[in-house]
Amino acid sequence: MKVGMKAVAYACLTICFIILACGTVASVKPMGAGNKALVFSVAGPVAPVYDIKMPMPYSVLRYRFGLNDNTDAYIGIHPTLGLFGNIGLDAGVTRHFARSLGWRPGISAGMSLYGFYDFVELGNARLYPELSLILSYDVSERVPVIYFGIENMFQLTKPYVVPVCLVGSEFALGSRVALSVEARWYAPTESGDDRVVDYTIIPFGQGALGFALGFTYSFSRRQQ
Amino acid sequence: MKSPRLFMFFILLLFLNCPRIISLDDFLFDPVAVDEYLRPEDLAEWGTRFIIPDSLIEAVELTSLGNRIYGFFVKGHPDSVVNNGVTILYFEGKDENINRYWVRVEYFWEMGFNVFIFDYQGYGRSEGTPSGDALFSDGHEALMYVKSRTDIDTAKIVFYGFSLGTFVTTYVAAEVAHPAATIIEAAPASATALLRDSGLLNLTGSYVVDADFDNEKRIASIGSPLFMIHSRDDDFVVFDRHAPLIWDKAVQPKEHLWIDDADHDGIQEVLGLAYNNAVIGFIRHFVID
Repeated sequence: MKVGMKAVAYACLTICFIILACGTVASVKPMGAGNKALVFSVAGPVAPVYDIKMPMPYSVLRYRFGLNDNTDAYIGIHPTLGLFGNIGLDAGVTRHFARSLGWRPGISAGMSLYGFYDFVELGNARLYPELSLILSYDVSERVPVIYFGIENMFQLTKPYVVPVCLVGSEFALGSRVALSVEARWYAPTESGDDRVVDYTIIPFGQGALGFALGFTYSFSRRQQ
Repeated sequence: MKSPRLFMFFILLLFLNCPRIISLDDFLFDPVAVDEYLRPEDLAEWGTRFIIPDSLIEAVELTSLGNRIYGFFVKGHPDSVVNNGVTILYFEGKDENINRYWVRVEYFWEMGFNVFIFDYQGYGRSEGTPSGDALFSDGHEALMYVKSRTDIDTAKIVFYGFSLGTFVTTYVAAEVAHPAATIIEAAPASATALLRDSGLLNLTGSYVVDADFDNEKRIASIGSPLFMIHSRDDDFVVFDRHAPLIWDKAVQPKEHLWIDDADHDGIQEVLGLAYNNAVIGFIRHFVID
């Protein structure tokens, strides 16, 4: 039991790093006006939990809904942070400026606000805005959507901007369910060496590489 | 599910009422239990030189939060009459147990100082489970024990903390009783700083850790001369992310020894006799002279 809890604790030590991207996956296709979906995602950098090297499981549950044909909004809660007795919420909008057509990628830009509240020690509330830009290729219904982009989270202390570079793919699993898989390079602007956590993959000595997995369930049939 | 909004509201309610189920405190501690202390085969791997005569080593048993904790009081090298008047209360780091730090006891003994070293709860033979409160209580009890000895000068007790032990050092110095001097080696600034070290966001340690480990907060209240020792090449408590945070908040009198080319626990090995001289020099200046 003790060892099990320690494994959980060790795994969760990376929570702060993981929050950089909040375990979310990118939104690359518009929902469509009035459509709704639930998105559950887990993500994090790869780090050793004893002898097993695995992405750290930071989870986010989001409720997405289409404001109009090209704009989605969402609110989310962060269950992993809740296990620590804190509250983590996020809300934001994603604007899909252009759809993928031939060599021209689809363009999506997002704006989010993450809020964290520490119930253990009151007065430690934190707010982090985030801006994202995602380019995507949606060649046909038979080919998964391929996308890449960057998310930038901002704070009032150094480092003021914490970016995450990502490349991913979204697979349709039927008309209502989609699976997203992403590789994420957390904080490539910061040295990844000599951190308290020994991240397993540190590209060019910077940041840490991780992965994200997301499941989207649409309450209406997904747009193609 | 008829209404996603109702579902989300339900989840949110659950979430808002969620107590802390897990914390990262366990990560801070890495104890190893033993049945017996100071067995040569256990000490050899840590570079122990076996230079302290058994006659100068006294086993000590204390009680902290209802648990028995164990330690050793070592009388200083008899050739160093002046230094024998000083007693080092040593707060060990997060790993292993007394065996691992016995080589450090040997350094202090060689310098002529008396030393008291003890295992926190859950370490070595000590009962219980390590936690922030447990370590603070253990540190408190250790000080009370040292102060209760009639064969030492209780006005010349010097606290020496290494790594995690520095959190206990500053706690006891600031909130229990001021020592004659305080030495902290490879000190993390706080649990918050450790958290930010693994991530980058400015969340506080209290988000994930219960232990009130905060050298940055307490260092100005230790009420004694401070000597900080830290390697610029520390690969665990990285110098730039920790040492300046403590140093800037510390009040005079304070001195520091920043060195190069030593890892987290390799300062003595790299400095050799210079380490002994630095510690002796500080203590003689602020405690003995």
